[in-house]
Amino acid sequence: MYIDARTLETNSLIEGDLCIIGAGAAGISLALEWQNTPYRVILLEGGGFDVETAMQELYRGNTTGQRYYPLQSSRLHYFGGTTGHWAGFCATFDPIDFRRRDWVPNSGWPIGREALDPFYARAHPLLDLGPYNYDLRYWLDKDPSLTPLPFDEQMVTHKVWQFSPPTRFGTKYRDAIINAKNIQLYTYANVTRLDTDEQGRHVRQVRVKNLAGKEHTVRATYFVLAGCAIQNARLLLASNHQVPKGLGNDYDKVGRYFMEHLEVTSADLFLTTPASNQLYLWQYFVTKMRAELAIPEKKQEELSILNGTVSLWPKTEDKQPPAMIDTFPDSGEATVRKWELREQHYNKGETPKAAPTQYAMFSLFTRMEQAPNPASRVTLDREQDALGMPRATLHWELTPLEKRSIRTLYDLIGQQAGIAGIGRVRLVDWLRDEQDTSWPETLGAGWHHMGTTRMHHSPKEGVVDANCNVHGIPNLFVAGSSCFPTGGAANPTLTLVALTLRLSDHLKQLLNQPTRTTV
Amino acid sequence: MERRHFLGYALVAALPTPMLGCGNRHARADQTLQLPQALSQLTDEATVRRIGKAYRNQVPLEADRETLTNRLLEATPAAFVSRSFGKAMLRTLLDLKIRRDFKDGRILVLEGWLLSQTEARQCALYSLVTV
Repeated sequence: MYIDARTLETNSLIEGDLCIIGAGAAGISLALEWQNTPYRVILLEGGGFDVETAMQELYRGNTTGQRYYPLQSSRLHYFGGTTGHWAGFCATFDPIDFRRRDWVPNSGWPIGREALDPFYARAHPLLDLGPYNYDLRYWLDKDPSLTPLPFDEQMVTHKVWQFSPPTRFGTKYRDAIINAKNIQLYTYANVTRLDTDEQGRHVRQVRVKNLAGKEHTVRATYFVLAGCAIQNARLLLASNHQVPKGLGNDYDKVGRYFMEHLEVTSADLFLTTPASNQLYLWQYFVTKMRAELAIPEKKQEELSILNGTVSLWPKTEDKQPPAMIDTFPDSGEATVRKWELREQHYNKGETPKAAPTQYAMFSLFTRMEQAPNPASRVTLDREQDALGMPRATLHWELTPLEKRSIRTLYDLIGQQAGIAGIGRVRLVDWLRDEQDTSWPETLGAGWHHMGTTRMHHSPKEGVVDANCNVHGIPNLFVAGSSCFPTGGAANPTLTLVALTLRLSDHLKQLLNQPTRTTV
Repeated sequence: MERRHFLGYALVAALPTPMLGCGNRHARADQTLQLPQALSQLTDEATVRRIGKAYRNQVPLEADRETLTNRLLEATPAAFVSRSFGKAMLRTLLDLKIRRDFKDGRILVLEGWLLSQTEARQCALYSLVTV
């Protein structure tokens, strides 16, 4: 069932068993798991079914520290969420990403990679991915024309990505959600506040507002925040009328440890003989799988570096591509329309043919994990949005470990290229001085917001426990990448969907519902 | 801007034979020593010179032709620089040295390029010889 909350009489009371706040990848994945159960699921989405400037404006906020993208365009505020402009990159987090690493302060998840494996497999069909297999050997056997660079895999290895078409959750799952008898979807239902009991230990209800001036109340047994890392933290902090520090924030952890993936062109690879780039190629809507260069776990440990990968982008001119942070649109609408245009061209057969597969020159593009840093954080601004909710301010702060990790990564790749006798690596200028810890203004990121309600066994170190339950508030949970204690090297979507499915099973156990044990 | 090709043999062949105090052995080797084989396929002359100058600034003790030549010819059997074997053998040996440099971590970053020490020395020699 679907209701536009602007059409309801103001001060309506909405009641259910499970209330999901946010209908992006996490919220929709969670709701779909509850179809055809005896429980009433309330799915609240702040926007409508199409991207709108007025809704994106509610996400506008300040950024300080390292230059960052506009907040109102890096996340989408409508049904389907940021899947409305994502590129479909999917890979699993590595086992090392879940472990405590002595050289990475605040690292370690309260669960291991093995806890997520069954959920990774279940997430694959939701994202229209291929088989749950990220072993390079499997893909090379399938297609012998894929040729890895001849590097020592003990020094520089390959990590496999698969590509969602990309699945636009808002388009693909709209009918399923609306037609599900036990799911009530409310659009234009922005949650601006969580109300609790006097001790702040139980969420009684949430307040919903929209730009039409309507306000409503939603009550449920369980509540799940499935906004995004910035909005989840913002809502917890803004719910401070009963608990001055905000909810889940007894130890000042909400909003902290904001993490991104540093994404930036870092070097060039020049080959003495052109080589096939088919294994490394990505063409939107076409490519199903590709590999990126990666550092084996033992090497990360030996060198005390973060996890990161390098993709190869063929080029025919010795020229640096423009920095993404310089070209990213200021408007969420523009990002969605850009993808829609690409899809239209592709569907009409107007997309340029795949490029030739032998190149001698490549831009090397890094995706590097950010070390969890409590100073990198989301806080509340004094300025309020049009619904009267304090805006979020993002302070993005990096440490020298990220830059040293990037430089070391390229030292290894350069070394391997030399040993193999295939070519040479040339670093970009801001990476050349090993003593220089500064970052260029052209440093970009992946629009991968993570960590602001991180998982930890202890409420003194995290916001949610191993089951994504907010410490101290048994009926409040968080879904999505805001729960990640570390960010890994992989794009977060597959992992956040997997973690959400795991949360769903946990909620079903709480409510004594059967869980899916097979894909 | 297309990748510029190093002029390679044509340029080296056009240079006058260097006059060294160290004897004919080094003189015969010089032309091959000056040519960083792999790098010369990947970048242009001006870049090789800049790399060479950067190496000489970084390692001032190796900033002259004689020292660089001696370093490059270290552990090179005399036969490799004799007329009868010619340039090919010396080039092969240098290539092996370069790969060994990379394997053993004798790698420098000069003008952004991750190069073996042997290549860096070759560039340095080239920058002195072709001013």
